[in-house]
Amino acid sequence: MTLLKVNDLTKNFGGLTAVSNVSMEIQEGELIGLIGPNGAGKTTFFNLLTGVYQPSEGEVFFKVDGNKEKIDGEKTYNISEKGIARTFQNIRLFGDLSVIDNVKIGMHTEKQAGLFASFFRTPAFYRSEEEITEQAFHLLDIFDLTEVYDEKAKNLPYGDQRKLEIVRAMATNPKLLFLDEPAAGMNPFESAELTQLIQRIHKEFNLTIVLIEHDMNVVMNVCERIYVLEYGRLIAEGIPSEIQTNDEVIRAYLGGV
Amino acid sequence: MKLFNRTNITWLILIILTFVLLEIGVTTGFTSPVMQQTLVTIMINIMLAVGLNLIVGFSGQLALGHAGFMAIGAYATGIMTRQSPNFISFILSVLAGAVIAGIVAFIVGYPTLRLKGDYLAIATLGVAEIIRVAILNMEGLTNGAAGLSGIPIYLMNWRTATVFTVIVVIFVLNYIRSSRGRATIAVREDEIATESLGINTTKMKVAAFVIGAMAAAVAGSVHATNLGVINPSQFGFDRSIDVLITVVFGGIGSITGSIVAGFILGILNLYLQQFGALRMIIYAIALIGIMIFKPSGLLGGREFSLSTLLGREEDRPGFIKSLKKKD
Repeated sequence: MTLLKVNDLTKNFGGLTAVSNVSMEIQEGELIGLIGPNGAGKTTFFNLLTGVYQPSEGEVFFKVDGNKEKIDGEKTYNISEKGIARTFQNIRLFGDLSVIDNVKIGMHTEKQAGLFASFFRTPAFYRSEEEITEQAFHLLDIFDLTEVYDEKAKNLPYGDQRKLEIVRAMATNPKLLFLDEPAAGMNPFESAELTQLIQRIHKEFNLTIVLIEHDMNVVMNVCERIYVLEYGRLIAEGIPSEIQTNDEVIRAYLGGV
Repeated sequence: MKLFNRTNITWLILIILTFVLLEIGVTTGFTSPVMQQTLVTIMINIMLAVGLNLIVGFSGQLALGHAGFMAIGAYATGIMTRQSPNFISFILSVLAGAVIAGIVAFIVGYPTLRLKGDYLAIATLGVAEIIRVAILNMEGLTNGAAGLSGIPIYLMNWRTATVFTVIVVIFVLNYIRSSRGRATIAVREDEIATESLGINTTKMKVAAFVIGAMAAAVAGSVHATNLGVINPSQFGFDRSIDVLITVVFGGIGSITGSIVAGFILGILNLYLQQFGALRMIIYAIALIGIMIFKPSGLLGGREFSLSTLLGREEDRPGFIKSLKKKD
């Protein structure tokens, strides 16, 4: 079943066309890779899908539980509430807050005590806070971050910060998860561990994942299908072995043949 | 009932104990009328500072129009208690002032809180000025520039002021330490990331703005019955700046800091009265000193926590047993 359908998406920044006529169709439960040389428009494409930028042209449809909804031009928080979560290329954690609070904030729209309950600290407030903590710990546990729950997010090692961003995105209980360079800055050991984690959440939560990544080990190992962008255009699409031998892709990465 | 845990009961006992001590001080003559008067002023400043800290320190929006909302509360109480000078009408006027201030904050907050940084500061400055000029010109209701006099001051004493302050502080703290409070702080930390988690950042900012404005209105009500005379010039730009100074002095993002700063600046003001013109200079030097030696304010972003002091982490909301530290 199609989860996300993108029709001819285009984004112009003044005279520059960052994303040009990109169409794609993502099925439920897929794990998709999005690759391309620097400046190909990968992150812009994510920003268009999550409402950070408004597309110049084209449409995006998101289909959940049989309801097909047009989400292009929607506000970021509305898109997130429909079930699309993301991480950021340049980490955007809530640095001064604790690890556990970062995750709890991710759960805000899913679970929160009412205004009255919060002001007067009714039993319902304590109950909802306990449920939130419990679930936050469950998520931290999967990513092996339970030990540092009390640390400030900005004090975590780089790799852990990347993982925490994924946990925080998972806390919104998404159907579709966009990961923007999750392995950037990780050493080979860390990125191998991350690869396993991505596969695990993909299976355990039946989550559809789209990831941008430069680490070809990660991409070729986990992705079922790969899209390749160059200068904002889609130049190839296929399973990893096809992409590895695709002439267009080789030309884009290594220069003219 | 989780609410009546050891930490909260200790808090209650501490508050009552302070009250009793002050009461003994009053009967024995140790707490002079001047001190009582200062205490009321301090309580007003604390309510203002705590409200503004929610906006500036927690939602991260620099708003400079706090005096405007204070004026709304003051005039609501002034008008209503002059009509029927009794305690019930006073309480009703406090509620009315807070609700009107909340509505005004909502109406002006929705468009202006989309602005950022300096622009928001200027816009809120304008809003406070609009409120002041509106009061100045609604002569039938507010008696214009001459203001309202003869507001029954016997309705206010340090006891009432303290009770109001405790209630305001508890409400603000409970808000900050709820899911919405966390979302509000998230807005301060990173707006784009907050939006990506499905949180409507404008809504969180407006909510903080409205609650802060309501706290200011309560402070205004206490102020009106404390002085007995109010006029628009009491609620000018310098008043808003005074509140901001208290917040910055105590530490942006620390409610404890706002309370401590309210006390320190209040007492400083009292003792500097005798120096006349030198007062403002010493006051300013104290502020400059703080900015040089402790730019993040007296307490930075830290809070005093009784549950930590008592070692009772289990009393915090959201505590689950498996969370207890291993040691």
